[in-house]
Amino acid sequence: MSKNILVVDDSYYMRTILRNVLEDAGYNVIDEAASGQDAIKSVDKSRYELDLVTLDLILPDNSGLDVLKSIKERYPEKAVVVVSAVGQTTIIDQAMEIGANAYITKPFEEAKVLEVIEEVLSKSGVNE
Amino acid sequence: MNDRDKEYRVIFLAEAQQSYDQISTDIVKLEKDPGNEEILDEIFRLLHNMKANAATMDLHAIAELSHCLENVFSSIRAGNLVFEGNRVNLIFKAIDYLGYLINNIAKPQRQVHNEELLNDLNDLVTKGEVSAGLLQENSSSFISKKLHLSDSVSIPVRKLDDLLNLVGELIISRDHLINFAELSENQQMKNITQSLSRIADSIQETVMTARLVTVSSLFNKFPKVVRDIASDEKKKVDLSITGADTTIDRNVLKLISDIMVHLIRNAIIHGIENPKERIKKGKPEEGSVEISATSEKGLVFISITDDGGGIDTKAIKDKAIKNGILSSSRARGLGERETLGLLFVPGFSMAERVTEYAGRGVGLDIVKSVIDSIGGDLRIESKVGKGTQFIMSLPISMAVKAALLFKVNENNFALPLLNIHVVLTVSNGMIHNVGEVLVLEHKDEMIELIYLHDFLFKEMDYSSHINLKREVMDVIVVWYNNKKYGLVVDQLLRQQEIMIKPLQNPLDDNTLFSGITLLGSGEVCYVLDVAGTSKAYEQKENKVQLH
Repeated sequence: MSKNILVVDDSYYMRTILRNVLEDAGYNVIDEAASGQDAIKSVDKSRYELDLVTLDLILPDNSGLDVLKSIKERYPEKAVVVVSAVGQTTIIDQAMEIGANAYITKPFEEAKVLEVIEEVLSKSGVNE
Repeated sequence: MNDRDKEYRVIFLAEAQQSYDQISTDIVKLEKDPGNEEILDEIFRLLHNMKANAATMDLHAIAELSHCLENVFSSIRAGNLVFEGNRVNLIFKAIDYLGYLINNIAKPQRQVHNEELLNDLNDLVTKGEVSAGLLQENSSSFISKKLHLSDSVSIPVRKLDDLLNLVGELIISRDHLINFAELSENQQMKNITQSLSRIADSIQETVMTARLVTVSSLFNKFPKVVRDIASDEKKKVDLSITGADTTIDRNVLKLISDIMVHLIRNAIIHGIENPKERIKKGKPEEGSVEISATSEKGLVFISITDDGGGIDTKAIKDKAIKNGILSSSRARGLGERETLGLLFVPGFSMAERVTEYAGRGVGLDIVKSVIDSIGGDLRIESKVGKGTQFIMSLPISMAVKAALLFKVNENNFALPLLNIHVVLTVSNGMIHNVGEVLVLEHKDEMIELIYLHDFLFKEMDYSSHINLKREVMDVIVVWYNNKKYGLVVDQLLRQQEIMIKPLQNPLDDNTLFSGITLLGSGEVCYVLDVAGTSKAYEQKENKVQLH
């Protein structure tokens, strides 16, 4: 079965790119969320199928790190790859400390995104 | 630029214009309330997105300017800088220039860095002050005098769903009113009703159109799918796509995307022969898969055609007999088309080998049931040695459908037009009892009849030995699982747009009906489900045979 991914980003443009990149590579984008609140709702809803979350850290309700905490506290087995623009080293460091599995900086190369996600999924032991 | 790049550009531009408008509004608010953290956070977030998105689009002037502005707002947020004095003017100018760049993304010659502006913004962050230079100019050449408003807005699909449901309610109310007006003597009332009715029709049409997307957003993914599967299978496959600009409801497209991939995989893995075999058969070495979409009368037809080995109907019959799905006597009377329909019976799979892509238990029965769930239809045509074609007929919209209304035993029923092949008026003499089955002879074809009056209302003891009292009967011919059935109704009423509401407890596990709808007269009308009805009929037929 293909892996299920939730894409969290407040930019529709960025979500569209990520969805296309992931779907082309055979992943299933199970849902998209544009705010921290929606992201948490979506994680709860899809907790049985969800394998990985790509999480933008700068969200409208200013809650990227809170979302990350909430996921890692309640579903430690779910992989989270944070996606953030260059120049945000502090927040990325914080995210990695909280338990993010990897990070990607925007703008990204499509191949790089897939490489990181593939590696995280193989390490996190989300098996077929 | 390919389709996808074009799509990205349109989305980028719409979002960038929206963000720019929001930033412009926000900084005006911020000028009055410089310490407002909420506004600062929002400006920072919007600039942050703009920077990343523009960089992805290779729009470096926008990315660089957003980056410098982001740094400025980052300093303000951190309390290192106060939003006041000539800094405000500089930031306003910078945001104006950002707007100018966004509104000119189609003109590469205008995508230039404004070095002075960037230097001033950097000074602001590092020194906390601006040198006078740029600020003394009263007018700037780059500020457009025209206001640019984005031509598109983005709406969550959920809102469009709500809107469509409301349109359904509107149509029911409209029908009530039409009914009422017909009984009334008041000419003015009739006129107003007519005009309201026209408006309701236009609203429905407009809302439906708003939900339509082109199938290209899905079809664009297929070249890669085909290439990957063909290369795994060591086959050569040429894919041709026609009608990619056909439009369909976004939810319908979403539902059929997995189905289409499944059918394409089937075509390549089980249909198209390997190059050696093809050459031996005198076919071109490269196999062909054709995907085509067309629309007609509110329906969308999507076909997937391959020029592979085709499906051997004899093998299907043998397997069906072996699995106990079919008796051998019944198998003899089964035509090619009906035999192919057996592939849709749950659990029936012709795949002889398991590969990575197919044969994992997801058979055509699943494909068929997904299409049934949206009231669509799937048909197969196949010729041994020549190839196979799957044809999906899909509703353009899921909630409101054109339907044919009829009466059986004084009750109202509706059948979506999508499921109807043809409506016939037949005389008693054209109907025969063949074995246990009632059959209509029509254009050299034998169509099994379901006498709805007895089938629906004498459920316990339905048999085909029914008493055909009338000389002339109306028969609605429907397709299901590649087989035609004739539904004998008491009286045909009219064609009408209906909104289907799901059945409520305790009827909700009834498979004969897909829902109910309310008629203008306030009467309830049951929407007959072709899949459920024909399945129930086949089960009863089997029972009859066992006796």
